[in-house]
This record gives sequence, C-alpha cells and structure tokens, in this order.
Amino acid sequence: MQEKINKIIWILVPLLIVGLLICHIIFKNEGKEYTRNFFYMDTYIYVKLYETDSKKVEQAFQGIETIYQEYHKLADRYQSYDDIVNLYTIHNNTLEVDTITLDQRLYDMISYGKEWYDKSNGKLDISMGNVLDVWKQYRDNQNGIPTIEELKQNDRSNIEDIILLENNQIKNNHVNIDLGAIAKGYATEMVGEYLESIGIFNYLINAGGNVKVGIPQNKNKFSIGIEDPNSKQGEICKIVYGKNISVVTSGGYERYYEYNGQKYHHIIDPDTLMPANHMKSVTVITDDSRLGDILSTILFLMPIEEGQMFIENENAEAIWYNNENQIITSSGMNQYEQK
Amino acid sequence: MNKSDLKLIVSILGITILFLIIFSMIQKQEAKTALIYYQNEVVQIIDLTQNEQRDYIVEGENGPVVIEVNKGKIRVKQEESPLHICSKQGYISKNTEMIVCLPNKIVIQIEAKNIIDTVAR
Amino acid sequence: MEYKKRTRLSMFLALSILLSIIESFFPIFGGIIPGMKLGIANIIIVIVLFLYGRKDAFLVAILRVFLMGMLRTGIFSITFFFSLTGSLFSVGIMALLCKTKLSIIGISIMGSIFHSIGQMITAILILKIPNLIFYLPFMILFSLITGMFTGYLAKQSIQHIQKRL
Repeated sequence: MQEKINKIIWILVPLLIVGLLICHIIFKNEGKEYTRNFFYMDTYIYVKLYETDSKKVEQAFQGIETIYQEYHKLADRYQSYDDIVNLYTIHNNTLEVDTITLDQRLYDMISYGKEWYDKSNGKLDISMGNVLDVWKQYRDNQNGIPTIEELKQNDRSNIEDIILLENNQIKNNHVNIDLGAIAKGYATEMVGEYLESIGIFNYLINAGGNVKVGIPQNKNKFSIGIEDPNSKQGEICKIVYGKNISVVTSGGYERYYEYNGQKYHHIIDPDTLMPANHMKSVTVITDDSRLGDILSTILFLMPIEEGQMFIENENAEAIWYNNENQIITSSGMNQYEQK
Repeated sequence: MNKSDLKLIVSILGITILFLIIFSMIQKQEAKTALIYYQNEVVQIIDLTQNEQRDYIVEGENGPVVIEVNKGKIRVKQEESPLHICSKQGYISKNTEMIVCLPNKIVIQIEAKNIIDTVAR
Repeated sequence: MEYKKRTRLSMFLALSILLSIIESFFPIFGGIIPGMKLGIANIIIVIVLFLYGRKDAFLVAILRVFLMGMLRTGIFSITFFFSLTGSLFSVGIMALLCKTKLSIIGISIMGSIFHSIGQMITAILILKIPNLIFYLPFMILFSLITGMFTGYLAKQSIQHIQKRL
C-alpha cells in the first residue's frame, strides 16, 4: 500500500510542476489592458490596447489621437484651421485661384467619395453639404421640416462640380463637400494601420459605434454586439464574432428629431432629399473600415432587396434590421456567427 | 449497513464537498450579464448592473414570455405553459444558477463577465 | 421463463410502474430538469436484482421505461431519454457492484446516484446546457439520501419475501 502511494506521488508531483511551468510560459507574455477616450469628429472614441510595454502604449495613444485630430480638422465643414486646407476652406475660400492643393488624405477621401458615387448609382453623394445644412438647422430648432423647394434650392451643386486633378489638386468650385460617410471610417482604418505598424495587434476601437478590432487576447475572436434600433437602453439584437474586422452601423435612431409625430433623422437620400426610410438600421462587416463606413451609408439609402444584390459584389457582409423588426443577413454572414 | 457502505458514504460526501469548493471558486457574486436563449440561440442580452426594475418580452415556443430584471436579479414573471414551471423557479443572480423553461424552449443563464467586447451603433 | 417467475416479475413491473406514476406527481428541483424524479421506483429494481439476478433486473428496468413512455412521457420524448439513460446507468452500476462487499443499502445508494448522473449527462447533451453541471453536487447529496431510504425499504422487502419463498 505504502509503495503504491509513493509511486503515485512520484508521478503526480513532477506532473504538477511541469503543468505549472507550462502555464507560466503561456501566460507570461500576456499584455495588460489600456484604454483611453477621445472626442473628435463629433464622436466619442474609445480605444482599448493590450500591450506589455507601457511606454509603447503612451506613444500609441499619442499617435492615435493625432490621427483622429487631423482627420477631424480635414473633414470639418464648419470651421477653418490655420495650417491646413479643409472642407470649410474648399467651400468658403475667397482665394483667386483656379485650383487648390490638398493634403493627400483629404484628396484620397474626396476621390473615394467620387468613386463610390459612380458605383452606387448616385446614392453616395458627397456634394450635398448645403442640403445637409438645411436639415441640420431644422433638426437643431426642432420646429418643422424643410419644404422640397427649400431643399432643391440648396441642392445647387452636384458631383460633377467636384473636379480632382493631378498632384492632389482640386478645382476651386466652392462645392460644399460632406465627408460624413467617409471620414470616420478613413480615420479609424488609418489608426488600425498605424497600430499594426508599431507592432500592436491586440486592439479594439469604437469610434462612436464604428468598430474596428485587431486580434483579441486569450480568445479566438472579439464579440461585437449590434445595437437594437428599437432599444432605449442600448440592448443588443445580435452578436457577431471576428478578428481583424470592422463593424459599422448606419441607422436613423441615434440622431433625429420629432415633429408632428414623425421622426426625421440625419441620413438624407440624394434622390428625394428626405431622410431615407427603407429600414431601421443596417450593419456592414468588412476588414476595411473605410469600406464599412461608406457601404453602411449606401445600403441604408437603398431598399433592402437592392442592397442584398449590391453587397454580393463587394467583399463585405451586411445585417439589415427592417421596418417590421426582422433581421435579414447577407449570404456570407455565417463566418461571423461562430465564436 | 456495513463498513463498506460507510466508506462509500464518506467518499461520496468527500467528493461532493470537493465539487462545492471548486464551484464556490468559480461562482462570482457580481453577475454582470444575463443571456436569454431561445432554442439554444441567444436572443437577448441583458445588463444586470443597471438597478432599475424592467420587464423584457421574449418570444417563446408557446407565446410571449415576460422576464423581469430587478436589482441584479432576473426571473421569469409570466409564461404560457401548463405547469408554469419557469416562473416557479424564482430569481437567479449568480453565474452558477440558471432557469430552464423547456416548454417554451427558453433558458436564462448568467455570465460573470462582459461577454460583449463592444457595441456597434 | 418459468410460469411462476414470469408472473412474479410482471407483478414487480406493474409495481414499479405504479411507483413511477406516484412519484411523477412530485417534481423535484423546482422542475429545473424535467424528468428528475425521487427514484422510489428503484426499490423494485433492487429487489428484482437481489431475488432474480442481473438479467431480470435489466429487463424490468427497461420495460418500465418503455411502458411509462407509452403511458406518460411519450416514447422518444426528452423525458423518455432522461429516464432511459438514468435507468441504464442505475441498473448498470448496481449489477457491477453486486459481487462487492457493499450491502443492499450501499448498492441502492450507488444506483440512485448513477440514475441522477445519467439523467444529468443526457440533459446536458440533449439540451446543450453545460452549466447544468453546477447542480450535480446537490443532486448527488439528494440521491444519497433517497438511495439510503429506498435501499432500506428494499432490504426489508427482500428479507420479508425470502421468508415466504
């Protein structure tokens, strides 16, 4: 009996020690969690990093803030900044020049907008700044809705007036360009690229609901909830799982005002000049945040059936929440439904 | 009853106590989220850290099921079923407890951690 | 099978069904795992095991599950499968422990416990709720007690019957 016990101890104890060593090796390289918030582009931005080197973390947050700050300035339609040419400058400048030179990033965003105007048959229209301003005014005052005449009067410029030339130049046509469907996605994608360039791959970014994630620590995929458009307390209607993906939702339920019992939100259809009402929200999942941002806006502006066909040609998946409170997913959604 | 029986009972009690110790290490008091499953799929995720009393309605197999959340506890308040087994189970609030509602195919489980990393809005 | 034996086994089968029906009126554990029962029908299985042997105990146990299925739970319903695995685990372990030093009570305890374990495993697999395992310690304690109770009753019955045989 005594010998049996001895044998067992001789086997168990070394096993235990080996086990502990293995655990130590596996978990030793785990990074700590660091989070920080910023407020740019009219949005609350939340960033979470997992990193072992705390100095690198500080550098990273500075880098991230700079990116958001700069894209904020570039896409600002209401204010000018001394050192750069931004959307405000393009619209309001009194320079007597034929063309203006733009920051590469601004040029790229405008170019992207033009490209997607064609691809979306005009649904994505970055030249609608004036129309959006009219709506914003009414939304701020909450005292009525604009008439079609009023809106049409303000819809004077169109996409053809935005003319991009070589060497990052744009023709000085004073178009009121709006990059609302592009800037956030662009900035967030750049942040992702930046983090990976400095060797941080475990991150999570949520820029006002526009989500981009890298690789999680200690598990296979991140769990990203999609807000229920009907919820009053941020309830979730679906969870998607993924790594190195971007999840962007467009919906009328966050920024709207009520007048005479009707809701009027901020995503305006270029064809009707009114807020689109094909659905309550649509969420796009892609690996590139720029695509996610722009696609979610485009899909929100077209009927669901049209959207389902449209997305088949893109490297992305979508989840629609229709007006009858049903959830419709695109054909390749499966890959994001497993943990 | 003989000696072997007594040895058996003692070892059973021993194993049970061991289990309970392990469970108490796993069990956490601060329940954070409740997951509501219908037919094994998550249909609703409820944050239990909010203190308001709130009712949620979930579609069960036999009809709507009313679920009440109150101060970190959750229970089935009302359901369509012959024996009302679910509502009789009362409140749960710990991650080792659960409510199983076979007739309506609803299961309520509690997670002690945040199972959602972030929310896309 | 000899006429007398067949009649007696049938009576035991009928008794076990009667006990099953009676205990179906007392749902335990607040009905969390439907089909979880007190296990008093186990008394009969233990008696048959000690008076007639393993094969007959298995026979009565299986027949009981199927007959209860036809009468109450529905064949191939969830509760049916709980019952089936529970009974198989239960008779199985009791048959194995027959030749050991355990008394009737000890064997009955193990039978009860394994009946519960069998039901829990089935519940976890069919319902796909791994968290049910947290209820295991409580179920084991409960089965321990009911096992002692049924074991005692079985022992008394066996002694009583053996006097008459």
